[in-house]
Amino acid sequence: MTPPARLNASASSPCRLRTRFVLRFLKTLVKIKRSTPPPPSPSLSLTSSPEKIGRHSQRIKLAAYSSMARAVGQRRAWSRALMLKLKLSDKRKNRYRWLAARKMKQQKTLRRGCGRILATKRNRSEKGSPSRSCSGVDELRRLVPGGEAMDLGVLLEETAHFVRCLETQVRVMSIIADCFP
Amino acid sequence: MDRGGRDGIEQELSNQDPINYSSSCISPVWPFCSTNISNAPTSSVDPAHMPAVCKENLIGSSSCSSAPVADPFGPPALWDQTTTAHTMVGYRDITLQKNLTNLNILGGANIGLDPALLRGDVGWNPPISMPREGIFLANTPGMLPPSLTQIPADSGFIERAARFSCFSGGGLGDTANPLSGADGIGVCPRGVVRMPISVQGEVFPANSVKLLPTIRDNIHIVESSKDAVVRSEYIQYNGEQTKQVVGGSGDDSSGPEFNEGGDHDENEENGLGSKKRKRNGKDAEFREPAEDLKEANETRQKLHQSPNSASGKAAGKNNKQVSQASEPPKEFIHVRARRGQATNSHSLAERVRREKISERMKFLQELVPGCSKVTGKAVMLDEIINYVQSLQRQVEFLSMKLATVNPRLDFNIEGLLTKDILHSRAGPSSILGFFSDMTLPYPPPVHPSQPGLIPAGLSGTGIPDSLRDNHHDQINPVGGGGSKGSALLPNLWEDELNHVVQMGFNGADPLSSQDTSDGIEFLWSYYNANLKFTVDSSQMFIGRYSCQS
Repeated sequence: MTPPARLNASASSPCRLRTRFVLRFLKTLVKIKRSTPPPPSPSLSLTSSPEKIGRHSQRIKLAAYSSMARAVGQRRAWSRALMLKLKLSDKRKNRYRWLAARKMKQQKTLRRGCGRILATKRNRSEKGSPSRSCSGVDELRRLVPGGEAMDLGVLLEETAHFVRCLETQVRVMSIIADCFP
Repeated sequence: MDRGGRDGIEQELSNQDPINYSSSCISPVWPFCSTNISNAPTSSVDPAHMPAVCKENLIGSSSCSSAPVADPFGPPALWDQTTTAHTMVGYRDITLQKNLTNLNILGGANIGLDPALLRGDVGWNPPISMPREGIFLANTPGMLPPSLTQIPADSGFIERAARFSCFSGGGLGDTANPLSGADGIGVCPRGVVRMPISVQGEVFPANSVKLLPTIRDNIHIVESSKDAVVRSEYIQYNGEQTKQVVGGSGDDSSGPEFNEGGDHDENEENGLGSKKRKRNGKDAEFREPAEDLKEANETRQKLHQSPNSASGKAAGKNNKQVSQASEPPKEFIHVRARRGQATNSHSLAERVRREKISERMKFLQELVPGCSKVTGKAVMLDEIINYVQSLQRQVEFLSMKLATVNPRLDFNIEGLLTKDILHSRAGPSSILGFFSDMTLPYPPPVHPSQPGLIPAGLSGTGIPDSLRDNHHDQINPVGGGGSKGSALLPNLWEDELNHVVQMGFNGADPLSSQDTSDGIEFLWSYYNANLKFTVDSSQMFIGRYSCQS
């Protein structure tokens, strides 16, 4: 079972993932829409735009990521990690603290993950120089949710799937955005 | 995602080991041993189910004191001692004699084996007292392997265990299994071994590294019913290099360590092992248990006549001999030490890991646009990171856009958008249209009409229309319901899309799913070129909305 085969198989059925994501995302958008009180007047929307729109966009972004993670389900490590993070953030019921907590968690897991990776490398008598590839790999670990605790091979797999899901996300969101210019 | 196998495994694992499944499947098996004991189904194990299988092995081994395991081996204490001794083994070469003695210890209840090889009454002393090239057997009978963490996860160790499990599983299925109660355990090794085999002989999966400790204990049970070759190969699980396992049977064949007087048998074993290995070298495929047993029996008979044939092979030389004579038979792990390459188990594992990583990097290269010309891991990694960051920025930008658009999401959002998104092939073109329009002055006449037309024209379009039109309207994301009404909107969209198509986007079926990557590539390049307008566009949107209302 090679990763290309797996991901190609998923590519052959992109509609399923996309459909799942779309449905979830739309529902979340509607929910956000309903929860957000409509601006009393158009002019006010302009005046309150910077902060309100910023907050609103953050919520939409979170909704996009969470709906994508839920669409993927438990099949992928990154989706599981992302759902865990979101669950934690929901429990605290504070969106802003979620970002801070995510940063903290990333730092912690990064440190832990690095230690684990270095230990693994030691155990395996890694020949390659960890320092050379560490920076790029570390960056990738930061980007991919849950990547800090992954082995490099698994990390690359998850990255490939994550990239595909991000592309789907961008596509869907752009379509939605285009419908309402 | 089409990962049914992995889904099954994940579910199974999550059911059985929720503690440790947050990490990838290929996580050390060590944590698994602490999970509850459960007998996972073993009949249809496949490579993907290896973790579950090895977990099962672990469980089976750890539950050696349970009834099914204990019965064939008589006194459970003996079993415990056996496992203990094996767990505490060092990482030196293990001779065949030791294997044999171990087997004797375990094989008290074996049936179908040469009784001369079985020494049910042998205590722990022989293996323990055998100083084998520095091998250290901590003969603490009472010390069970509380956890497999005691076993250093040596790759060679694991390889050998996996290799042994292959034979073990094969032999088990064939012989009248005295360990009928340990069916699950018996089958597990086969399943475990199947995992590497499925990788087509070139993989030393990290899984196997973790597997072996788990299989280790099962091997105790299994090996009693195996041929001597299998046992000999198995015995060398404790950190010995794989090559040595191959040639190990030939090593120390004439060891005085066999103080049980099994010299003849040992040589026999060695001969069996070497011959079997050679045979395995020629046929790298996983043989059926019946074949293995038959061959083992045949070789055993032959070796009876020439017990010293194999004794000539030294431990160190055997590896090279075998590798040079025939490719090293590593049926269990299916890792071949190529000619002239290092055959150290560590380097083998490293090579397999590197190959895996390079394979995945290649796949990522195809996925990320513009990386086909890039060579080198570091540059590729940078490209991938840039791409992921750009995608995330895009998501952020689009969410901002949606935040500004959101006030207008009053209308029949779900129906409309589901229809639009089900027109999946419109994705890239619409994205391009979006970006292209951003650079051009957005046609004012288009803008005011759209909001009014959206509810009128598109709210009427139900999902059935979208589904019906899904395969027809490739270039009309919004105009799917054009026939219903709002003739203006489809025209507007078509104008945009025509413009987009003229821009040189992959004109030939640009919206097929296979071309989505191309679309994304185009989008990606476009986005890179027009990064600046993201902020401008959002401001434009805000300005437009303020103007409209």
